[in-house]
Amino acid sequence: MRRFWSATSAALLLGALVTLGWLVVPDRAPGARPYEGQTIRAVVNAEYVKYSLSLVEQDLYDKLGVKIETEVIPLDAFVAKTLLEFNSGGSPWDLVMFGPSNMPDYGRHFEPLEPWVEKLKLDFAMDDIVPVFAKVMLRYQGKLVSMPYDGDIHIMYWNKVAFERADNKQKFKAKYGYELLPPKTWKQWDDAAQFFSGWGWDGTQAKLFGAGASYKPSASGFSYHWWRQRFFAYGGNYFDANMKPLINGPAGLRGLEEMVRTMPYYPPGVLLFESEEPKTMLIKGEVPLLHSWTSTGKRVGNAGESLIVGKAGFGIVPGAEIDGKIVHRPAITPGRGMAVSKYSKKKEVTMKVLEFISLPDQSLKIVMDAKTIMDPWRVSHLRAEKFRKLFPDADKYLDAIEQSFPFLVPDPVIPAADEYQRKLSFEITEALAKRKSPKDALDNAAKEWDKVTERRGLEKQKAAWGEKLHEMKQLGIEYHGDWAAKAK
Amino acid sequence: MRMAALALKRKQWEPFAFASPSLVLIGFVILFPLAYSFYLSFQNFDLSVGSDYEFVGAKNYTEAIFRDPRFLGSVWNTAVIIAPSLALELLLGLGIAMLLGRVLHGRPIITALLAIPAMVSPVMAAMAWRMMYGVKYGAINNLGRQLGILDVYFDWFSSPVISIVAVVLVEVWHNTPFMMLVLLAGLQSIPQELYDAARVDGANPWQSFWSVTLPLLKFTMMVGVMIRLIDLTKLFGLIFVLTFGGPGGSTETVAFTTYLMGFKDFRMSYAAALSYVIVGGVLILTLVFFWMQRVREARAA
Repeated sequence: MRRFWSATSAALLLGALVTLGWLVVPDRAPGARPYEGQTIRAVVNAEYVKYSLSLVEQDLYDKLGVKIETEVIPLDAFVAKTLLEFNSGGSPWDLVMFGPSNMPDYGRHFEPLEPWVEKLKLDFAMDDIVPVFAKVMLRYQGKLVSMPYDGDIHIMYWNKVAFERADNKQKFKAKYGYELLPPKTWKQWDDAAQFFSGWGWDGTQAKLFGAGASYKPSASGFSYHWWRQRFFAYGGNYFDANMKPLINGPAGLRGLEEMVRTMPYYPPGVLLFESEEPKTMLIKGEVPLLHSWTSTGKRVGNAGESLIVGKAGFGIVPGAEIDGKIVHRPAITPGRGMAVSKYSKKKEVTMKVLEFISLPDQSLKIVMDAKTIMDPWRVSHLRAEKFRKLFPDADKYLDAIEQSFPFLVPDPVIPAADEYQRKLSFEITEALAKRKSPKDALDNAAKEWDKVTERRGLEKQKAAWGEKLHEMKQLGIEYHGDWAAKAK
Repeated sequence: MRMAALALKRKQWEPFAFASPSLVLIGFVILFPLAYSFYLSFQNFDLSVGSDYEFVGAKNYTEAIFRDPRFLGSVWNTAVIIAPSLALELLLGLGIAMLLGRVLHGRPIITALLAIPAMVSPVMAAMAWRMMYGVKYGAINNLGRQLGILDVYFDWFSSPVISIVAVVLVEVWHNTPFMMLVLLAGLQSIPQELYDAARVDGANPWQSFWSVTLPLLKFTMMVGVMIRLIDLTKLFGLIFVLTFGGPGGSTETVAFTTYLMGFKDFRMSYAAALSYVIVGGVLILTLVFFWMQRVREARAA
């Protein structure tokens, strides 16, 4: 009998403890972890992107009960491998990271989001997405198919020491006849680069350089990003309405000639620099000027590696003075998006994951972390107090990003966008390496563009470009054949 | 009688039976890809467009040979890298092999030590050299500064010419040991009696080298050069890591251009055609080389 009562008491006590635990621990509340035990497969193009997903992994599990298994395919092989899978009519991945400029090649493999928004009552907080990203990054043939993951654009960074030292200001004014200030036009940028090149502008005896850049050929089209911000400021555009390339016109030529002429003011090795080398030179105080991806700002503010914490200025990329007004044309370069594979067998849970990682508070964790190299893409990211206080002058850094948004120029987001960019990028580096004149290089690039258009089908490309041309017009970007001659 | 016939038959098929697993494997991993890529080179398979393709005849080949300045440029770049690399590897390899031939003690150890660069993978070698060529912190520039001949900011990839020199230097460092080993084997197969006879005839070392060593080493040299020539036309890993074909396209080799066409532009058929153009080119070069050698030998005879 005693044994019976002991057993009953123990069972009751255990039952009470379990019930208490169920009620006290919030994530055991009814309805929590609705997808417990499910794992989705994601594919990304770098370890730091995988790391960025790990920042929201725990919350994702606590909320939905889902785990993400992330596969990293290195950048160089990413598009080839993922497209190979997709074009064969399947994919082992549920969640897919991609470059928005490749949307025309990827889009048909993505699941449209809107039907799922209805069905699952998803909230992607669309109003909070920076309008220009919402307009140019997320749709395929008019349908919403992806969410931003990385809002890459270029902004300008400068070392305040270089620009604020009294003797530097004095010398500069004596040489160029105007005040030394962070450049607003490309002419001022080139003057500053020339002025600072080859001497210790920080007051030391060190040999320092005029400005930073990334001109590595072929792969990721770095030099193309550097060229097109001048090109568009001088009134250029990619094609006319009939798909005739406009890159070898006066705007392109002026931009490239300036880049070739100012090469001596850039650091040795610049012809093979990828994205990170000039960023490192900036934060180590070796170049006073750089326009680069917005993730650079987080490195600038990271006291663990930066020597210019609190000494850096942030602003919009220079432009051109046209009829007394400065026209800025910073680039979208090109960012990352996340989409759900059309071939996924776990579409519902993947949609929930996409919604979760895109939530303002979750995505903020990702874009705030310096190690992710992911950049803000929501308005709330830019206004978040903890981001604005992340490092000295972080507020000014975020303001510079926001100020750039109205002027952004997207890639030519039409089929083979990536190929157009690489062909042009290659020719730009040919000119920078002085293997071709700027004119020959751009003429060659235009010929290559024609070949790509011909291969893809002129009419098809024309139709796709027509849409983009309209979109760019809405953004205020139009071709101006006369700007190159009158730009100051 | 019947048993003997059966045994004979068995003798005929037995070797094939034993070799069949490896033949099947070779067929699967070598012959099939070769045949498939040859078939593909006559299609217009473009991965970025989709999985459908159609027969386009020799269009890819005519484009490669007549209408693709970038590929033709890469042929020139490859030649510019191959010529000095081969010459230096041959001269240095021969020199080191002859010096080693005179070493009496510890030759195996010295040979093994000298062969180390050839054992390093091209990608590892390229990564190491990329760091050594580095501006400001690179070992070469800092050594150059100590010697008073280089600035630490000297950029080894500032111009096409210097970049090619940089690539050739790594290539020579990496592959001279191979040439050395081949030539050392050749040198050791020359009978000592021939040198003794030459000495008795009053030949000085130079005459001995010219009249004994070189003629008898010619075939070994030819084999070594051919192997290296074929190898150099496939130059990829070093370029990928060290220069990515730059600055501009100055170090873009044929193999690298083919990679870009296939895995960046996704023009799989065109990349397959480029590969066969390269194979054809190497084949022609090899045949011309052997033909010249035979003509020279015939003339000498």
